[in-house]
Amino acid sequence: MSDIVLSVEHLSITFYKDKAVLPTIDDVSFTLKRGETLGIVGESGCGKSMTVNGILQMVPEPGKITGGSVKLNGEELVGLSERKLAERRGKEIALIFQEPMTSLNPLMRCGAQIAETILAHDRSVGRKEADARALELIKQVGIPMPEKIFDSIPGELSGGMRQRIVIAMALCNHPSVLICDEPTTALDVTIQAQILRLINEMKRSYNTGVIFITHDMGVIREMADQVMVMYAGQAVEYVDADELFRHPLHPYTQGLIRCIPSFGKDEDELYVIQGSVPMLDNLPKGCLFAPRCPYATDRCRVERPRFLGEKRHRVRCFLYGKEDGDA
Amino acid sequence: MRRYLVKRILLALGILFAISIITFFVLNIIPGDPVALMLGDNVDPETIETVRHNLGMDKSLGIQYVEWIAGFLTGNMGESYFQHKPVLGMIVDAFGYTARLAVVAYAVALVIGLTFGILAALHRGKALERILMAFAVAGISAPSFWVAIVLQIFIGLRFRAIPISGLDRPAAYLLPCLSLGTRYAASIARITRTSMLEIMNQDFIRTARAKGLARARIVMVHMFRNALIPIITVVGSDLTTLFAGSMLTESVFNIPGMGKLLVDNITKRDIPVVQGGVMMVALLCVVIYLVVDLLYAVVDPNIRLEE
Repeated sequence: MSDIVLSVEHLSITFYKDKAVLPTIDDVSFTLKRGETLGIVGESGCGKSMTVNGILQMVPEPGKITGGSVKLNGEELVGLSERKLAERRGKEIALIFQEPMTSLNPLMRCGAQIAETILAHDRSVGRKEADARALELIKQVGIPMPEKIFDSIPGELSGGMRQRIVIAMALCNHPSVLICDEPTTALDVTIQAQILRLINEMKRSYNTGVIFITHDMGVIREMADQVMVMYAGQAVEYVDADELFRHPLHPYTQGLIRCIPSFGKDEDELYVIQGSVPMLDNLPKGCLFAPRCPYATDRCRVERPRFLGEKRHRVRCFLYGKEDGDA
Repeated sequence: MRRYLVKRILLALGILFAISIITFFVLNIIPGDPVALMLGDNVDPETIETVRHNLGMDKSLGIQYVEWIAGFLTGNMGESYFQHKPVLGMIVDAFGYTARLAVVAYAVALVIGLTFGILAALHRGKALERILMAFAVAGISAPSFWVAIVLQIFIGLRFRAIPISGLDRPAAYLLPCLSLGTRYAASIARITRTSMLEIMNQDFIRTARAKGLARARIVMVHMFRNALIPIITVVGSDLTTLFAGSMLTESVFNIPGMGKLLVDNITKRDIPVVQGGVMMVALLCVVIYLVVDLLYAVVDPNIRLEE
């Protein structure tokens, strides 16, 4: 029970724009245990980052959380006051962004950005001690010449170095949940591998639960214990990682896996899933994936499948499950 | 950093030199003979010649320029044709009034402008933003001399304790500062709002929120400091126009400042006074822009890196 650090149930987020009501996140549920990594995959615009906003209660205007619950270490976050949320953010739950070039304050020294995160959450710590701990963290995330980097502004560092600073900042208060929103997308491949390894090391040493968001199935295979595949704001498949790669059920998941370019195999052409993610103001009537699905039937085009299956492996598709899925 | 500074100072000196040449020759070429104005209509050519000789106006323009610059560098700006007083003293007196008025008016404008701008940005799309920005638009649109007269009529005449002219008592600052400051407060509010809105959508503000920082810290340390560069630019250019003196405000409130001094003496063709005044204003502008450039580098270390 106490192993579960984050549980999201039936989370729904809706955007209200020019009188239109756009369901952005539709009934998403998952749980995260200490020391475990949950991967969330999907193309751009599938609602991965919006799910993160929902977890942190940072949904931008004109969006609103319209239903569901987010429990962090057993405490409900939906509806909590902004002040109480600020106390949790950065302490119990931390975030690493996609873009290390812009996610640090360009005018503030790196050391100070880490130290202020420590100071914000612990009144008993003085300026000097916070600085010392920040320096220690900079060493810990494998930055050469930590003293020099401590006094540098982000503009003086490479993308990989900045992402290490961001990681140090995220981990400085030993959060129980770490959300990584495409943390390596903007980095070179070699740097990418180093950063992934660092995240895994940190996860192990702090026993943190990690939510890892990416569109890259290859990265998921390396990082995740559990995987949730998202499409157009819905979860379409939720299963442990080994099973996902062995028996992917949803046609979308199968497509994503086929999209991984494989080394050595002689392929004439890379596989692509035809079409693109539907716009929120123009969602298909039936299954959201039907227009792009090679197996779509007439039923798929008029009726929405529900998210069904045993606890271990859930999928949103009419191809599986007993008869008419609307149990 | 040192190279940045040296480059800026050299540039400033070059600009001052260019301004001195332009001012000098333009003033000596424009039609209107100060001697004729001084002596009136019925004078014989000999007297005119004598006066011209006494004023050094019979020498060639080149020599006059060199003499003027040499004097300027040693603090001697010559003597007024009409008042027979040293120009430097006249400028110092006039600038004293202008500077006192400018500093008080602008300090108030800064406080109001920054507060309005930040509040408007934080309340984007809400009623408060619309109210604050309506004030800002009104403040920019209303001509300051009109505001001045309105203030004199509706406040000055009603409350006798508040003087409507001069600058000799603390209470006398109220109306000129209000009429002068409104415009500047409005423009500061607008640029602050724009600049803050731009920063608010940046990723690092999201980071700051995700770090759980207090709202006040996010606004002041992360947003405002990053929004400062465009604000500093506006403040710098505002200060240059302020220190040149506001002819209109000074006329309406009868304050003997720089604006009044320059305009009066241009009409009279009192060339030494105008030359000295223009050079003073130019010098101040150059110094202000130099300080602005330095402030950029202080606020944004990335600028130091690029040099």
